[in-house]
Amino acid sequence: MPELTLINFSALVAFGFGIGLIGSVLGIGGGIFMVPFLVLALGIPIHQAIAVSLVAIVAASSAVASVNVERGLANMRLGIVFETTMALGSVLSALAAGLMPERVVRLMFALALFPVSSMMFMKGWRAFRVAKPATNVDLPAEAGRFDASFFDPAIKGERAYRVKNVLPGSLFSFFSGCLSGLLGLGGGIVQVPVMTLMCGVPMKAAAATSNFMIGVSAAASAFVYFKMGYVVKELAAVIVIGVLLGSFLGIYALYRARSEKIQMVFSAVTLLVAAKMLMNAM
Amino acid sequence: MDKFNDKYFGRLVQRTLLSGVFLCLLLFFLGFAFNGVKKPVAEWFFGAGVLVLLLTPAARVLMLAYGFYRMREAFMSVSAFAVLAMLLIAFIL
Repeated sequence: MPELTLINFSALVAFGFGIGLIGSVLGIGGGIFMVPFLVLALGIPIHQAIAVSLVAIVAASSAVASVNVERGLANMRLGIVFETTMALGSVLSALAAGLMPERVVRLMFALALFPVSSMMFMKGWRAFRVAKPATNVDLPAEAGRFDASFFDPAIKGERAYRVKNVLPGSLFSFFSGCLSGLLGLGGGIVQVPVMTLMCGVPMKAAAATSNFMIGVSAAASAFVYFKMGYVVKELAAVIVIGVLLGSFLGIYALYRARSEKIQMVFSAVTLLVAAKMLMNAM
Repeated sequence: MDKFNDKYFGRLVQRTLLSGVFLCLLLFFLGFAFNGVKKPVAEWFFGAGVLVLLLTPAARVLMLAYGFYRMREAFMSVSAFAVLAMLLIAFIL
């Protein structure tokens, strides 16, 4: 670990701040950016970098979820059902690690992300071109178990939504959990598109629910690394401080921004992740 | 009358998560303070902070299991317990 001079400390806090900001708005942990930074810029061994990144994801998820749950932005019922299959996938893939070549997993994941990115962009773009922001879905008096609503400042009113395709969504959550165990990702990059494109959850609520969920899978993996002694505690502490500061600012941005804009930024990040995964797999 | 509704439940989960985050931050700051005066106990505070942070999502899942039980939503409560069980398996592994 580099010596913690004032400059190093500030640079690490600033980096954590950026990751926390992006992660809390988009519903992703940001491990895909943090691990390469720690390895390439600081020369941290890969396992220690993954461990520190997972700790930072847990911090961001806990901080962001604490506010989003109280505001009703995170859908706890949908979150806990998806968490069940996600955790199962995470544990099973951890047990089966090594049976499937990492390169094949990366290649399959990257190829799947390209169409997801374009679909997210098109959905966001179509909604963005309509001058009026997305309005409420009228819920019947007898709402479903997972249907919910939240106050959206972008439309200056309550936004209700119906949740559909929970069962197929759970299967994709299982897949997301597998990725977490095999590649050390939080899983938000899969969960957000699944909730938005498949389940009909508005982007803001999907990002908030994803942030609510990813802390669990990241904590499960991080604890294993912690027991193995891979967590560089002082480095984790510095980055966590930055991530928490960025996360709290990101919550404000998520709350104020239009869902469609967030969706288009998310599609760009997904494209970036897909390209990076493809390069790694080649 | 039972006052345990969605709003109260949300606050309970929020307080659980914030308690974990702020306790972790307190331990980290103590770690930095002791590190500044070159005390070896700083390492212990950093370790305790990380551990508290990693246990926070598990505490949140436990609160969800309790909350859904109080709201008589058996399916959700069982789901939360299933997540907790899998977290436990991951911790043991």
